[in-house]
Amino acid sequence: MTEIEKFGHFAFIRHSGISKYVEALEQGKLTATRCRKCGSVYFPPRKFCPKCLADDMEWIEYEQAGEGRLLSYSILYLAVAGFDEKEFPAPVGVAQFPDGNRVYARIEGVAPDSLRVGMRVKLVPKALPDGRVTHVLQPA
Amino acid sequence: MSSNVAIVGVGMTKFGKREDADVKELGFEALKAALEDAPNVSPKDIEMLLTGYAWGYTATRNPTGELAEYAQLSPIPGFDVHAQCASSTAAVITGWSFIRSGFAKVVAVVGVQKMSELSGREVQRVMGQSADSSLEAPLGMTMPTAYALRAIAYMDKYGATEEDLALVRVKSSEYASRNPFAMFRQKFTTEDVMKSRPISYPLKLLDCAANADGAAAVILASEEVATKITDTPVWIKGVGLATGQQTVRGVPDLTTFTPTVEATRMAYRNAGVEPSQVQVAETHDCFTISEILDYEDMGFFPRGEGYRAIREGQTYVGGRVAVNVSGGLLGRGHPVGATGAAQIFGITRWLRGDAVGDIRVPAELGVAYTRGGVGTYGAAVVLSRRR
Repeated sequence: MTEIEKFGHFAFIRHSGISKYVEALEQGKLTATRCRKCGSVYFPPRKFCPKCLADDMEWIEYEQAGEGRLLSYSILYLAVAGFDEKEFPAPVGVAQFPDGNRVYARIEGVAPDSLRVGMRVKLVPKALPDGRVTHVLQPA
Repeated sequence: MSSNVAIVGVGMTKFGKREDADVKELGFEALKAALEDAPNVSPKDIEMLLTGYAWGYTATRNPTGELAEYAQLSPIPGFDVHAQCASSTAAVITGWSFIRSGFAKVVAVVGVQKMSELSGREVQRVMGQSADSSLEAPLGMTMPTAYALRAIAYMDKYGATEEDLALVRVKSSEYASRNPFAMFRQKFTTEDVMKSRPISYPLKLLDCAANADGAAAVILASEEVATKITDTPVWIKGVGLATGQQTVRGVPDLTTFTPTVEATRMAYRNAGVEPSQVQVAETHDCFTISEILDYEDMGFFPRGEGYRAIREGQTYVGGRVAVNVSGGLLGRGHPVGATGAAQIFGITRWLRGDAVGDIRVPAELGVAYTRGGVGTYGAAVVLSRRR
């Protein structure tokens, strides 16, 4: 498996310019990229800077993720082909961090009927079976 | 001098599971119907063939080439236009632009898709590929989930309920029961929708448009040709295109679709009309929530009041604006590449004074809007009986 293939529950692509994000998840760290030319910080990380068009990113630890808020959520009942049916139903959500960055991830540690827009969440790295790795939202 | 462009013929196949035909045969069936509908247009008059088609659901890679050969239209120019579920609306706009430029005078646009060779789970994997393939699709990002996230955000912000969403399907099923081209002919109640099995909370099976097989075709002609061959041309008054977001994390506001707002605003501006003048609309109700968002994003109702419009019946024939009174994607079925051309089929027939089944809509100005991907593409066409 390439690094990006290890991300999540099922791989759609084999090559990516942000493979280091997955390497860092394996080490239990969340990372972002910072443009060495204009200083913009990207989370999730990006290979290229759309603001100044530079291709010179510095990988930094992403620590702002502590106090996220859930913008919306859903519960997936339909197991997409390739995914393990035992994982479903699976709660998922979109969270926003204080710096404005957002992430889509599965949600753990919340009963489905307790999910609420606006609830406090944090994003954490998580190891999955078979050498896979992901990030999940948990109650903060 | 750029020419006005008219629709001079429309046709479509029955939508649903079509085990009797492959992609080129479905495409031919719709093209044949459109040619039979177009007075004084024969296959030899077609100068260009464009196909709206989304790749990945069948092995067919070159639908335009296959259809050009099968219909004996080769060697005329042609290619596939791909904007996911907005493909055939984008293809109509591409044809419009080739006529405006003087490159062609008569263009045939065929929207076609065959999805029933895959299971629902497999289709969702293909559709997952039209979400962010690096960091979102691998977590399980289905098309219903992308819209479910919007539904929860909208319901939380404005107080709409799951029953409000269900009312959209009740309306769709009422009209689909009268549309012989529709996949689903049975009428559903709010209770039927509420009791259907969960797909991605809060969306249930009957909140979702179904994968389908089918095709629809539109014959476009320059003003010079159109005025010679038909007394009932329907004019393309304005077109609009936009891109939005491929990632859900990148959506600035989950209660609105940027490509819907931008593409329809562009189309209204180009047509010189206001949304308040639109009498009939076919919109992208791939899910019940999306029709409610379309009401607002297309300017028919103020922000946060879309769900009240369906409660009050404002989008039935006879209401403020008739929306998806063909049955929409929910009732007609959603063979993704064919949907835009099928929307234009309905609007064109109503503007001409013709019926779809027994559905008639008295109107002079209509709009078709199609959205592709998880809110990735928007394509809009404003149509009028008046040049």
